[in-house]
Amino acid sequence: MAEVRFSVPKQSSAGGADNAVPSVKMLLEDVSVFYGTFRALAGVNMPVYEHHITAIIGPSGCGKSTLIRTLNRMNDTVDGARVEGRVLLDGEDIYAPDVDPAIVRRRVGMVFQKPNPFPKSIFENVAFGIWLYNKRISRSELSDRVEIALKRAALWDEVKDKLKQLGTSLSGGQQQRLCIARAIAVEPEVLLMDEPASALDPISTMKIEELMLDLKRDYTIVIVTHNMQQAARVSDYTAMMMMRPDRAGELIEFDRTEIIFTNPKDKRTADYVSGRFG
Amino acid sequence: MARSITEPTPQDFSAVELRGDASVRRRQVIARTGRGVLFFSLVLGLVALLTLFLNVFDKLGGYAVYAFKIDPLTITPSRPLEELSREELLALIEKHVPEDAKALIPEEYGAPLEELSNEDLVNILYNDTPSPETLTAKPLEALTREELIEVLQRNVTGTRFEQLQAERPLEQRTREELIELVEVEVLQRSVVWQWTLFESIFNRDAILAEIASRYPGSDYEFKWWLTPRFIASDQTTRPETTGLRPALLGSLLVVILSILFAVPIGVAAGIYLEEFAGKSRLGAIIQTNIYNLAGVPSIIYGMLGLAVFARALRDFTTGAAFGVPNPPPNGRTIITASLTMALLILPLIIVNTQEAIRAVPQALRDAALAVGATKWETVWHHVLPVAAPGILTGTILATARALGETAPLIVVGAAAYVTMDPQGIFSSYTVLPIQIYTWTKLPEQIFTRVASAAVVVLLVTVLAINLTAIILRNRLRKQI
Ligand SMILES: Nc1ncnc2c1ncn2[C@@H]1O[C@H](COP(=O)(O)OP(=O)(O)OP(=O)(O)O)[C@@H](O)[C@H]1O
Ligand SMILES: [Mg+2]
Repeated sequence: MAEVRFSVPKQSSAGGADNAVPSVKMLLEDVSVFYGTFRALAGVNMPVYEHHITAIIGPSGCGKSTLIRTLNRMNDTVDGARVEGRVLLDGEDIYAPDVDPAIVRRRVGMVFQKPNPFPKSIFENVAFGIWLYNKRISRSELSDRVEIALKRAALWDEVKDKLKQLGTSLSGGQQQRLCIARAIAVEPEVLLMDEPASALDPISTMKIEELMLDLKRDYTIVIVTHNMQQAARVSDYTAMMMMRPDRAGELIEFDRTEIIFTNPKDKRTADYVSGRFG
Repeated sequence: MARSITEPTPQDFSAVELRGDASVRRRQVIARTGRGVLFFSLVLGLVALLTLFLNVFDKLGGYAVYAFKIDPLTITPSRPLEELSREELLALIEKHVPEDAKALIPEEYGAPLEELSNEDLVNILYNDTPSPETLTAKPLEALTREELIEVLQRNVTGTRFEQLQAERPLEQRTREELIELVEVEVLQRSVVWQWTLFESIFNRDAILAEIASRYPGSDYEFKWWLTPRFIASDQTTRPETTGLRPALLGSLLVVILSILFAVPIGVAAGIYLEEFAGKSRLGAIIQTNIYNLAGVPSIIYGMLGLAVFARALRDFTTGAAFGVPNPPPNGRTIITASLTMALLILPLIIVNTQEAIRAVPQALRDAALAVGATKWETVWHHVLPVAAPGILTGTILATARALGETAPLIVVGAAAYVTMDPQGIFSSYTVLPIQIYTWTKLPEQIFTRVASAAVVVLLVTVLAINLTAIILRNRLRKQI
């Protein structure tokens, strides 16, 4: 593994049986992101642990979305966006010149804040990604894999009779779970979720949180959230971000979630998670 | 300056409550005036449109007075005067010889009428009637269908007769239709005067009275110019017989070909510019130029087409390079027109494609990219299907534009007088707007009526195309 230039709690002071440091799935090394000349992210160093949920929290505009989109090169689609530093996936820099961003996104899937199903049938929504990398797949196998993905996303029972209906005809919460099904159908290793429940009612939100807890056995999950309870409920690790005076976002604290919420080192973190943030 | 800020008291609010003070009322006046101006603009536009339609339709039909170049009686069957009986001859003299001439008969022939020989009676008829050979001719209306067909066969050229037969066998036509045919084809019926549609509807009695006084004994009828025969016939030099078919087919061919040329290239270029070109200085320059091209006056495309397609590439656009015999002069072919028109609508299609693609939400692209699709797969599977209705609508609107565009085709040489259907892409041609222009320019006034009929055909076609575009857009948009 590459040299580690950030301070992560090697052995958390909280103590406990599951304290063994898990393996690092992704690693950000001194990552800065620029939109044109504007620096949105400054020198972020942070690990993403395998089979754990990492939450990114922080005030609006501090660069959370920018950070999470850096993890699967979604920022490539933004004109003038530029990334400095290294983002490692299993020790390999995903921004290396010969890396195909499509393959990166294959391995690092993403669910967006606003549900964005394709304006196609529910079936096609899930099947598209599977079919992309296996164009000879038989119809029955495709159906099976679509069913599995929809079941894992806890949507199967609600849509199994209307797979031909438009994905866009579902309710917001169902659409978001469809997007999750679409993302996990291609069996990524990491799943990025940018405020996946911000547009949803409490019941849908709860369903998605349960889903994340269930999915973390197989996937590594990174989630951006404004909801402190949500971060506390679902995540294992929490990254606290802030905006510097020059409006660049920085990571001010990264630790196990219970420490961030009970005993943070940084006063700003304490203020923020307790709602005293100005 | 220090200002003291006081908390408003409840009374301060009550003054402006519900009805508002002077400043609120002023805002309301501005709002009402603004709305009035907008509404007035709308009404003005509608009135202009209505005037246009009424003006065109006004010329479409109306009471028409006919004159015949050839006297009907000279072509209908008649018996020689020599074969008539004495009674018949006397009746004819009684009817056709003027009274003063009759009074002179006894002096001239040395005996009263009743005592003259048949031979003398025939001579009287020959000398004292204006057209003695038509005296026994039957009027057209008295002829049987067989006789009418025979009259036609005797008096039109063989090819014309065959043409008429081909349009619809004469045996299947009614007597009225046959009479009309004889009047138009043989007697060279022409309209001496025609009132407008609205005059004819609202002033009917006055018109009929005027016909009786100014054109006594003339044939007249309520004549429409836009008939199936008009649409389906070849062009001729007479308003009564001319038709729109060569221009219709010419327009159809030119539009279809120009769409075939312009759409694939334009759509491809639009997709490239919007999805793949990225942001660069060169890209920005190209983009600006395309916007400018979309606004270049169409005559300039005509000049370009003339220089490039009609002149420089003449061997190809006339088909000479492919061994096509008798190419039209100066590269005045369908293919030249189509290529010129394709150039003209190309920027429209590019810009429209770009706009349709730009309207596709970025979230959709993100969704496809996030499951590992390449840019190409994203565009092909997700962006294009969503943009397709918009692209299609733009294409249809470009079709309408190509159909109505006139100036460039005048320059690249649409022929004014094309009697026959275009014979393939290397043939000379005319198109609807040019045909209309030609007809309005002719000295014979009544051709403006013919032009109006063609205008209605063009207008209805263009409106139908636009309507299709709108319906299609709404329908496809609903599906997404
Ligand atoms: N496409 C873009 N082009 C230019 N600047 C951008 C772009 N996207 C984000 N930014 C800027 O980068 C900074 C961080 O934005 P980002 O969306 O990452 O914030 P965020 O933490 O996700 O905020 P929120 O919690 O409101 O979603 C902001 O100042 C924003 O204006
Ligand atoms: Mg965000």
